[in-house]
Amino acid sequence: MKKYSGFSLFKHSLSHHENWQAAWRSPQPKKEYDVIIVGGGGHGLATAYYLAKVHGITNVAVLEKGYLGGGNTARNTTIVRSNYLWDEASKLYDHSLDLWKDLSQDLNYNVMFSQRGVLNLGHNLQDMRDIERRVNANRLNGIDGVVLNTAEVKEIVPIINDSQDIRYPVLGASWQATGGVARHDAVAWGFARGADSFGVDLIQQCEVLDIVTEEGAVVGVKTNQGFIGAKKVACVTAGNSGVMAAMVGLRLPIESRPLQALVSEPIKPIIDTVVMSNAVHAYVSQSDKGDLVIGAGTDSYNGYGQRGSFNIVEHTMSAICELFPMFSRVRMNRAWGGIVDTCPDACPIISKTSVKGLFFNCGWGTGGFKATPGSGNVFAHTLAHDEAHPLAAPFSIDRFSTGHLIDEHGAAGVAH
Amino acid sequence: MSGFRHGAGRLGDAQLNFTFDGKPMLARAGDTVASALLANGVEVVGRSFKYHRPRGVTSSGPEEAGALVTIGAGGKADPNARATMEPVTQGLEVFSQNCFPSPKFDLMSVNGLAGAILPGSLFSAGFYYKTFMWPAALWYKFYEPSIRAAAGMGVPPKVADPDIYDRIQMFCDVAVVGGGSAGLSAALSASQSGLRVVIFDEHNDLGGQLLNEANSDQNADLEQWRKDTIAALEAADNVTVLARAVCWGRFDGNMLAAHQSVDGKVRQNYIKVQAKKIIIAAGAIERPLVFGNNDKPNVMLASAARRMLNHYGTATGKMLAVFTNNDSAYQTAFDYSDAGIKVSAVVDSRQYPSEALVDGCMSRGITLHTQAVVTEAKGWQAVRSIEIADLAANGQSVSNRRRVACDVLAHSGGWTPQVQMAAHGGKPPIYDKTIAAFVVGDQAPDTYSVGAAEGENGLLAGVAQALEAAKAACAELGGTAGAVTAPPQDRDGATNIVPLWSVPAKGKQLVDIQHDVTAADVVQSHSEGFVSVEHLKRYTTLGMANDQGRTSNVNALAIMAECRGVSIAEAGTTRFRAPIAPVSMGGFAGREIGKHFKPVRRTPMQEWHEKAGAVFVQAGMYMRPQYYPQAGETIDDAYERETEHVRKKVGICDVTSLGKIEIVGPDAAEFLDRVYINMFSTLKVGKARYGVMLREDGIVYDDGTTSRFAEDRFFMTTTTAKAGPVMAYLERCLEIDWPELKVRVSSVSERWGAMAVAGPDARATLTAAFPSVDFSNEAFPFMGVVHAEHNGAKLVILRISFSGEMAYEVYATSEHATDIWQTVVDAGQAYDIVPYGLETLGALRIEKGHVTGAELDGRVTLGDVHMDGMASKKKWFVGKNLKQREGMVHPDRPQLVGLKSVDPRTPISTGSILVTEANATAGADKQGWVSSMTYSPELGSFIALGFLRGGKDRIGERIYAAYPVKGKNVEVEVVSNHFVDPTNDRVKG
Repeated sequence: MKKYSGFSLFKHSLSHHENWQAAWRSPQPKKEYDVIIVGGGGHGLATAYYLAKVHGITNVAVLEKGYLGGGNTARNTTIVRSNYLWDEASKLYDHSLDLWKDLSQDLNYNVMFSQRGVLNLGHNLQDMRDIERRVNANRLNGIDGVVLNTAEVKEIVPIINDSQDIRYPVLGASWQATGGVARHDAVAWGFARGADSFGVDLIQQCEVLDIVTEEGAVVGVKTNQGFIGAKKVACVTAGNSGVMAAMVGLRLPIESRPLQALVSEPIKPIIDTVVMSNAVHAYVSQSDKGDLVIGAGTDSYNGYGQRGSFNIVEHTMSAICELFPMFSRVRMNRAWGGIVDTCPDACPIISKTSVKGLFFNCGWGTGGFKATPGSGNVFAHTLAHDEAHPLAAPFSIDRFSTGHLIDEHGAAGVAH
Repeated sequence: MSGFRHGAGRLGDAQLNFTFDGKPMLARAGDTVASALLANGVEVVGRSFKYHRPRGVTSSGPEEAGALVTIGAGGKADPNARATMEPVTQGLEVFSQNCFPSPKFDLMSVNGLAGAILPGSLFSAGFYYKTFMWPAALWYKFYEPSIRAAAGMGVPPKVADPDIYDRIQMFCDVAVVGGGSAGLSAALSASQSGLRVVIFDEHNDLGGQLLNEANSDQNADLEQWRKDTIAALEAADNVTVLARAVCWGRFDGNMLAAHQSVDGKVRQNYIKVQAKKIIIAAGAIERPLVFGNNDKPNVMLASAARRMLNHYGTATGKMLAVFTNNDSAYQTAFDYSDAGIKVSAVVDSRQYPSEALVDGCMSRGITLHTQAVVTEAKGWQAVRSIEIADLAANGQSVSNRRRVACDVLAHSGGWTPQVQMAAHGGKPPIYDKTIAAFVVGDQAPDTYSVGAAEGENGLLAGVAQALEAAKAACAELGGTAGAVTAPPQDRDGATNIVPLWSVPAKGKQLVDIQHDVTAADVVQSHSEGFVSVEHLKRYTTLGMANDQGRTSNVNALAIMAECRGVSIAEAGTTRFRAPIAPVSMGGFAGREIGKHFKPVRRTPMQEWHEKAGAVFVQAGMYMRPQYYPQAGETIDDAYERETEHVRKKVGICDVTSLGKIEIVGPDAAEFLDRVYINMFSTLKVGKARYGVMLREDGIVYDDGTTSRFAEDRFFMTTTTAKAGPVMAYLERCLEIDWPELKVRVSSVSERWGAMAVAGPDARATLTAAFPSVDFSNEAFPFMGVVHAEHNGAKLVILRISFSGEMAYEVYATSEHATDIWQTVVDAGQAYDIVPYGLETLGALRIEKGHVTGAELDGRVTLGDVHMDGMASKKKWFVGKNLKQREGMVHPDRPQLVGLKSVDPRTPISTGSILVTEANATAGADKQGWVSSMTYSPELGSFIALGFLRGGKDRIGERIYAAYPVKGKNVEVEVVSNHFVDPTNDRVKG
């Protein structure tokens, strides 16, 4: 892999940028791999990267039915934070946040991670009580967080509507200064380029049609490019996880629903932080390109169509115009829907299964982007050692039968 | 200065004044900002996104990628408006964008200069992913702030939008998208069936490409046809003509969404049309050619140059050159020449244009260069000449470069049918080699794509397609489309295009003019492995600007296909998503902002509370009285007084906000047995029972009191927050899970006003208020239900208690509820009755250890709140299976406890974390939390409810409520959650 730098950019500009090396190879699938990762999104690519880098397992293929990073990695609002309520979740997301901090340097790919802070607004007394409880818990977990009053929120976001005479006035917020945003596509590409540099085969347009088992153990997968063997198969397929599980007769406690987001036209920077509100159901940040990036809620029905229903977007726009009345004339430029795979407790599954050699990393619901490096990191460990990484252990699929749930409905970005 | 007024076009004579960057200018009624700026000789309208290159008008429609301006000022400033779509109004203020100090002299143009010095730009595709990483600290201090300083185009308004937006729902039989010749014909024909027709067009004037035609004597009959057709549509009762309405998306169930600009009190209507059939006649958009400096002001689409002259009476320059790879652009040269404007050259990349075109040039004295290309547009800011060259037979190189003078270059790379709306129907478009563009091909259900939108550019042929579609659509709806007059002239649709995706010469060749994406960026994307069209889009930001790639996508993916050595069809398109044009957020929000964001629900007694001086607090959709302060009282004074009063005498509280659901039918009891953990089939008529519901996963969902009015009739109450969700849940159960049950549920929340009357004197008060009701213990015991009437009001009185005192809930028909409330208050005067609010309600229930939403937060099990004993062992109920999981009944789970301040005057903050060490810091063992707190007048101490790990067995222990956010630590004693009257005697008194 040729290193990227300001100098390389200058050098290539002298040759019309015609000699750049491909960011990754386009290999033909081998007959057999040590590990097959199904799903070339951020989490799958991160898993491959850490498998190779941390555990030295490089005979790995990532099979992607479309193009790399084309699922929810390409369709989210790029928010990164770790201020979750319960220990298990906050430790996992905080591990991820730690990895984010050096990710650009680690990958030699600028993922434009920007710790511009995340506000979670409170609009009524119960909101504020929940916020206080969560921030208190965060603090005792060593996660930075403060509770702000209306004036303090206004100081950070001068354009917010701080009138107390509106339907859902801003009463305060939690503030995690270390939270922020990243350039979502670059995360997938950076991990892909990194994994490829260790020899991982990234195979696009390769759809897994079946998971092949013998005597209760995985032996490979049947794809549209033929059979590919592997004793370990890791499914990182987000909204399609239920479909993958069904191939071996497993059922996952997951509901897949459309979640919508949208961006505005580029406007001169006007908001520097991430503002989230569960109560009015909207969140917004402004990208380095100038687009307002706005998230809406999930639809109330299950589905795989990458589009959502109308009333959700309408409501989100009302909420955004309520919080930021000057955005009313700004135009929505692009909108999209992703399919989020949500567990009953709003926490992911990072787990072995009852089928030997078959692993799942899914159920990230509405908030998987922030976990990308952490998820890949602990999942790679789980795959390499055939045993859960300590941070991943609480997220075993068994918890749904044991009842040891980690209920993060309140702290997840979107109420379900 | 190159553009000028030339002829009348189709505009009226009225003069309008407007300003551009403060400079006064003249326009005519009917001008767009673009045509008016050109007529005033303005060439540079703004600067480009990345390189800050000068930008001018490039089109005459929604595809505008150059002339983005800010319209208006203050709260009405509208950034990134497309000058081609904005009508000029008297006094309009127009501002250039993305330039400082002016569009002609812009300091940030150094971005572009670096590119001029180096062979390739430093800001090539994906440059920011490759640099700005060292040293890491500079990312925050320098790199990112610099990127952000350069970000964005227009400046958003700083103050609230003063305008109003409306939402409109419409229904129709046939919706026609596009008001060109095809759309107009289809709409008129369909309307004659008597069916309801809606036709949209995003322009002010309907007619589509007809507006490009010269408004000459020769075309008088064609212009008359256009006018007559529009007039006929406007006259028809069953037709709604929506001009200036951009139809931007098609959704499931044949729903079309549009934003319409309107003048008047309302700025925009957001229109949703439910159509039975959809005819898409959205036309085609001309594609630019890709050559050096093709983004320079005064390089514009040939059809746009033509419309500017013929419709707006604005010549775009004094000397025109045309560059094309197809037939259609010749007409621009001919029209300009015929209007007396010099045409210096027609440069055609094809070897043999048709004889008629060659003759047309010869007869007008226009020099025609065939098998030739424009390699570069020249000029400091706007075009002043072009460099042309001969194209090698294999199309791979050029030779014999020479200069041709001109001050406007009209170009055409062919036509791109507007397939987006059809593609929203679900099917990807297919590539049609004849026209070198994507067409719809397979039509989605109920959809007919016709005319230029389907690749048929011929006037009569397109109209014929449209009429066929109208006929088929009407027939399927049981109607008969009428015969309409065809246009009196034809226009040949064959473009005889020979694709030329990019000119084989060096130079800054823009593919996406708005996002400054060059052909070289596309090639570089390919060499770096970003070959999928979706990767190309994301890596270069191609097509992501507000023209949505209308002019850039086909060129870019053709260049990519060439690099990959695959066909364009194989390269495919990116997915088409709504909106196809940017739409204002305020339009979506409509009037659902401010107080109407979510309407405040009011109880019948709201005015009474207001008069009584209540302070209100949000409770779900309601604003409920929080407390009723007397002179000089703080909130604490008030609720402590109210609480004490209820415990000693009597109080009244508005509980209308509780959800109320009537459950009726022979299986009603069975139904309740399934949804509640406890038994309701055994409940006697005339009795009430407290019930708890679980979710399927065994977590507590909601609680409330349900009474049995008759064998087959129950009256359920829910918590305020869950009123809606529980109703929806019950309906879901009946519709999906147990359709065999004969049960009807109906929300009667609005039917009843409700009030709780609580305290030792509650019985005496109500006896005085309603003498006809026997309130004695014998006649009306605890958990009894009585129906009564009082002065025309129907009453349901339940003897239940949330406060722990002897209490009744009185439900009165809504229209009488205030009278009943007043009756109780009047009767209660003898006992000093006081109204009490939510604070007191909270204090009373905390003292009593009752749980509410603060405790039942969707995470607790029955065991956590000591209700496991309530769950029936004799029957199945929702949640029964999963509630028994080991983790749900684990002894270490946090369980509900009471907490008492060791120092009685120290409050225990809600949201505190329960720990065993005095000064907990990071890493402390978190054992629980505080869910609600109050001062208890009865105990003379601050108390709280909370959840504590294994709490049931820890009564008497002293622990700490840590609140690190404020550095507070409060020592508390773990006690039973029943602080007051644990034996529950008072309610039965």
